[in-house]
Amino acid sequence: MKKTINQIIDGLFTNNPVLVQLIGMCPTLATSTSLSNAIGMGLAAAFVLICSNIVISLLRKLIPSKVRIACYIVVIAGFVTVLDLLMQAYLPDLSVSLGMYIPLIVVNCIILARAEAFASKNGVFRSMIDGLAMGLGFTFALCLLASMREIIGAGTIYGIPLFGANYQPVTMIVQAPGGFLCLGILIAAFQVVIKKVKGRKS
Amino acid sequence: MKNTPVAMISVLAIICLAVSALLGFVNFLTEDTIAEIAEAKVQAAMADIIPNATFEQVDATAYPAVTKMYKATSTSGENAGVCVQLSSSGFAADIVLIVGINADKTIAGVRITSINETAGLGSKANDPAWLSQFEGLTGTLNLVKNSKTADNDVVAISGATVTSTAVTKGVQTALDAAADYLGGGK
Repeated sequence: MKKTINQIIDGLFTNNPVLVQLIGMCPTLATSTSLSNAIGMGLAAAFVLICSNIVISLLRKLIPSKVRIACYIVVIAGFVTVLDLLMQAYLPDLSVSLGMYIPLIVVNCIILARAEAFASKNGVFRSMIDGLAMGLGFTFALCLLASMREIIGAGTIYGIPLFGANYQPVTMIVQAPGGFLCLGILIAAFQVVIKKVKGRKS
Repeated sequence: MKNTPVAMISVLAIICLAVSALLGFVNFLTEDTIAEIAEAKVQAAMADIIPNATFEQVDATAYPAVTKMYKATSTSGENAGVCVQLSSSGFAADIVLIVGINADKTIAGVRITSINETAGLGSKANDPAWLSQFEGLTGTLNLVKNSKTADNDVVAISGATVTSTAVTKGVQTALDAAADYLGGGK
């Protein structure tokens, strides 16, 4: 139990895939323009991550090491397509707003990295928890960045206007350059917080 | 498993087969729902543009730029114009438009069913306030910057000329096709 909690804390904070490991930057920048997109993208990636981690962990002794990457990609691509079809059928609005980025989960390096670094070496339960922890960590980082960008760049949060009609949104923030700026500031701030917390513990 | 050629090929092949089977199954489950949603979206947009009418798809092969054309018939049985679905290439991807044209060849309304333009700039094209300026126009549309000076002027979104042009072009194409169709007296 304690190990599970540690794994979750690791995924959310100390080893956060986006803010500490710095992987999965492309979908992070692309889908963090609004909070609703961020939550949708984060949960979609978490779903794929949990499923692919479970399957890859189950198959880890069967897959010959030389073709492992090809096998992982086929499994991941399969789950992403399943998710894409399910979203188009049952969550059409979200599917429209995330558009191109759902198929691109296939090449989200968080998923391949966790398959290679964790699921291929650990048991099914641990791998599932790792998928959940990293998925939540990705969602958490996306939500932080998206809130920042949506509040400054559009003056809304989750589509609800915050500042009234007189607020002139800083549109640059919801575009690519603003994404880089916000991400940089966020990573720096996160490092400071993590260091402070760690310093207090030791 | 060992890295023998047979093991490598067979494991990868089995995984591919299993994944394909799963995909085939999910596609079978969702196919109809996805098609229904797409059709419902088009119907809802058309009903929004031309209220109290029924829509019937007609042959649009004479107009290659048009994806689909629907003939509108009002509840009292009169000709209520046509709705045209087409895509126009925007800044990032194709913009899919539905343009409703009244029986008198004026634009009844424009709706966007798919748009993937830059957030905050091109995406403003989907703003009902911007799209509403097409309503009532007819003939040849003229895209202008800043402010409207003539009846057929359409004011472009500042910072999104490509998107504004794409939408206006799409509406023009739809209008021409519809005018031709209605004018033919079919």
